[in-house]
Amino acid sequence: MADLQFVGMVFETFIILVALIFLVLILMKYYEKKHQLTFYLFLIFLNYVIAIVFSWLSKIFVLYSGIDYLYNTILPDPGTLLSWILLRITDFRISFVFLSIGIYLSYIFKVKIFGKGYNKVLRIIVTLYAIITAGFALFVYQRGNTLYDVFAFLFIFVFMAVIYIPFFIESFKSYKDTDNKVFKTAFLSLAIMAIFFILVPLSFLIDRILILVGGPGFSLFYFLAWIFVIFAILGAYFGYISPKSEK
Amino acid sequence: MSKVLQDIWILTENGIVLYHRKFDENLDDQLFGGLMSALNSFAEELIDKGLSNFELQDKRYTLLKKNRMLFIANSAKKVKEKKVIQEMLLIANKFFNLYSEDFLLNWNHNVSVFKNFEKEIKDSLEETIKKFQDAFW
Repeated sequence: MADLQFVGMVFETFIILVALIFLVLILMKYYEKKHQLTFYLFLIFLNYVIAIVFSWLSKIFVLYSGIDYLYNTILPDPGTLLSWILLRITDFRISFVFLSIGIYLSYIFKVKIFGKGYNKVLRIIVTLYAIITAGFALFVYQRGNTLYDVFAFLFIFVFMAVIYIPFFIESFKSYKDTDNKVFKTAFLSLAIMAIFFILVPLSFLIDRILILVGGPGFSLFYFLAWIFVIFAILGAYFGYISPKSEK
Repeated sequence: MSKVLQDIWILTENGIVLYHRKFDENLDDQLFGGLMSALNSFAEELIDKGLSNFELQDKRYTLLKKNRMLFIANSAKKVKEKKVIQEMLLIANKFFNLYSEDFLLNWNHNVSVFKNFEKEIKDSLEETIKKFQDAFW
């Protein structure tokens, strides 16, 4: 198990490096464009990167912190503030909070960039859902209860799908409607990015379900999820950063 | 809606610009309106249906006359004319749905009443592309 934790940590280190490079590219783009939407994209990816960092930290804590109740689930939770925080980090709950914020910002970003305006009811539902998802991740927690974890992953997957399916549809429609080659590539990349974003929590969810039915964790789906993150970042790069248009 | 059109003008027969969706900021609304109206009047002297389109640099300007109103839009040259006219007809229909014939007959020459029309044609691909260009590309 420790070996798998180590492999996971190495894998996630690589993902963090790629994501950080992309984050810097967005920041550079923001300083070039000084546009509100560029800043929103930066905030979205910043939250995603923080979520990945917390996931990585969970491996670090389990492998190197020497805190016994983190790697030995038979030991009782000491019930301190520190254990409250550390256990939520190791079970990805803090990551979920940042993911929820990132997905919520993606909703605002989608509405602003595709210009359809807010649907009042939908906006309230999305806001409530984000709060419930983050609240569930933080407070509905029982150490070693994988079912709660599965629900936490399910909430994130549904949230991601609800926001990124319309994003995919809008990007794909724009891809089909435009004749410009640069825009076509960019919109197609964004459509692909949206699909991979949905596949990431789906893969983690399947990995969790496999744990629930007795698997050791770190299944193929865990690694697939991170590979999908790389593809999503590539899609975002070719969708947002690399296109250069003549106005 | 309005996937291929860039600037859109809606003019009365005598050249008053009721509405203009700006894509190119360098054009003066009323000046352009006067020019279009004059061009169209001149063309009507030559042919029955009036001028339907003309090209300037890399853009095609298409004119559509409906219910004594003149709809003008520009688009990239390579966009098919049929597609442009389809989009313009959609815009014209939206305009007449929003502003009835009675309303237009009794209109008090205050063009600000047509500002709401922006919402009707806001969700265009061109708008989206422009946002992407401003923020990223």
